[in-house]
Amino acid sequence: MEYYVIQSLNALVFAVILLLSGLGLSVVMSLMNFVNLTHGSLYLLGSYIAVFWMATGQPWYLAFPAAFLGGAAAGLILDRFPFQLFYARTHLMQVLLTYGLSVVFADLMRWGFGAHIATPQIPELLRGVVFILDTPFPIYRLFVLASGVVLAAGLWFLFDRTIWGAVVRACVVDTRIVEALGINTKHVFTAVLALSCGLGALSGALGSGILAAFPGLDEEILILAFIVVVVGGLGTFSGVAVSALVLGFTMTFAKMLSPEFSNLMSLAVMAGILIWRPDGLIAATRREV
Amino acid sequence: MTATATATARRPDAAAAPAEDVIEVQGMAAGYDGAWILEDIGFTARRGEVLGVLGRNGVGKSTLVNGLLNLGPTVTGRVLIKGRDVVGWPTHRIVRLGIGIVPQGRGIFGNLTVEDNLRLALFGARATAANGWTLERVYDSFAKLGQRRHVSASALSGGERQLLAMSRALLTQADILILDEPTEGLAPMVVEEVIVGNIRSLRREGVTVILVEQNIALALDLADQAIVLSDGGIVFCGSADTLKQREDIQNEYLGV
Repeated sequence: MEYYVIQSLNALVFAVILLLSGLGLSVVMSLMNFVNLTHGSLYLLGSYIAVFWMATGQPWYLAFPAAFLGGAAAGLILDRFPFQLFYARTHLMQVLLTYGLSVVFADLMRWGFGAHIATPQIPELLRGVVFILDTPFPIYRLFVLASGVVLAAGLWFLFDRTIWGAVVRACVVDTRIVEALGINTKHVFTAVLALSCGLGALSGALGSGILAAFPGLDEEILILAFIVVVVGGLGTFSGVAVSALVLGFTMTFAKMLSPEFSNLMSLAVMAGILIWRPDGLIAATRREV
Repeated sequence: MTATATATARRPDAAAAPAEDVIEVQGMAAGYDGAWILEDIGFTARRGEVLGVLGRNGVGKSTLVNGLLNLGPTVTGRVLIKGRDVVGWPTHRIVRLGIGIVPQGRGIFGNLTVEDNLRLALFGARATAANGWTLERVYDSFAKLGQRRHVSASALSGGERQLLAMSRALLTQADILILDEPTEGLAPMVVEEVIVGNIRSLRREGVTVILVEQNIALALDLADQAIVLSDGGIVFCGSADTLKQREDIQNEYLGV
């Protein structure tokens, strides 16, 4: 029993990381119809920022805003060049561009941060364990879980309850009509890309205390984030959340049941969901003008 | 269901002021993918007038009005809005000069609430002069929208959608309003209530209205001036009263 509770908590923590990285990817794909394969690179960049920040002795909690800002700044630069030239082009061209960039970024990070597995110096406050049903559980993971829930709630509020979110949801449907209301949609795109990249890096910073940071993690996270977005259904917040939970739980429990076949098992579950619901768990039904 | 009477007093000089050309189009061509649909278009619209844009289906009426706002078609020539040549400007900058559009099909966001649809326009509004339209005034003037402000806009009837689209365009603080086939899909009673009444009261307020219509009788009734499009050009440009007399033009180009 204790074992299952602990594993469920682990699954939730993993789901939170998947959710945050998946949301960033999802909003860019549904709003801008842009396939950004550098999203995993931004996750890993965020992980490295957290690792190095926490090694400097600066207040540890600032590592997370630093990672977010670092990722958002990278997003602003990428938006200006070369992403803007590719927003209107085919997905294949976007894949070629962003995949190529992700390879370049992977090499740059290996060159800059080294090929070893880098782990952050988790602050004293988060280093210990708490006992849940007499079983030890790392405090850091609870911290990630809580931050993820707060962030997800904040994002939901931003997209669902503010005028800024309404502008973005309107742009998903028809950018021309939004322009005709006097809104500069190019700025909306830039802001959303920066937010997405910031979220990718922030999820990397949060995840670094669990998954560490090493070359190759960028690709792993990218694939998982993609699965979350596609299985969840494009353009739905709740879809991404549900699918992050499903993937988090299947991956955690598949590892428990059979470590060798865990990837195969969890991918089979996701493939099964897509056969059952080709548009994703929660499809955007009211995407009308 | 018409705009409030207080609005009429807002610009008492509207009738007396010398009518200024708020839209002046010279040698305009517009089209898609390198094929011109309209060529050598020239006309003017004066402040406070209703200008009817008429012509058969597919003649390029929507291309013309969308072209004014750089809303899709490629445009060359001169398009002066309040004296500024806007050819090549991004749409949002043109709109901020104070020109709003209710596009064909109305462009209501069904995934947003009624109020969020309206707030989008306020978010974008950067026109130099406010036109007096606020959220409160929309709800006062159109009680139905006020009652349903928190409802998804997809739940509105056709007439309510048209009201929402017109209110939204006014909230961009426009004093030039383009209506692209506003009567499309509406029952005759709703047309009378929603379209005719509101266009009349907007005109009283000094708003310039560009009215694209298939319903010739209605358009000629409301319009001060009219242009008739055919074969990629303007075949009539003059007062609506004159066009009413010219049955030959109506028969040849409007299929009455």
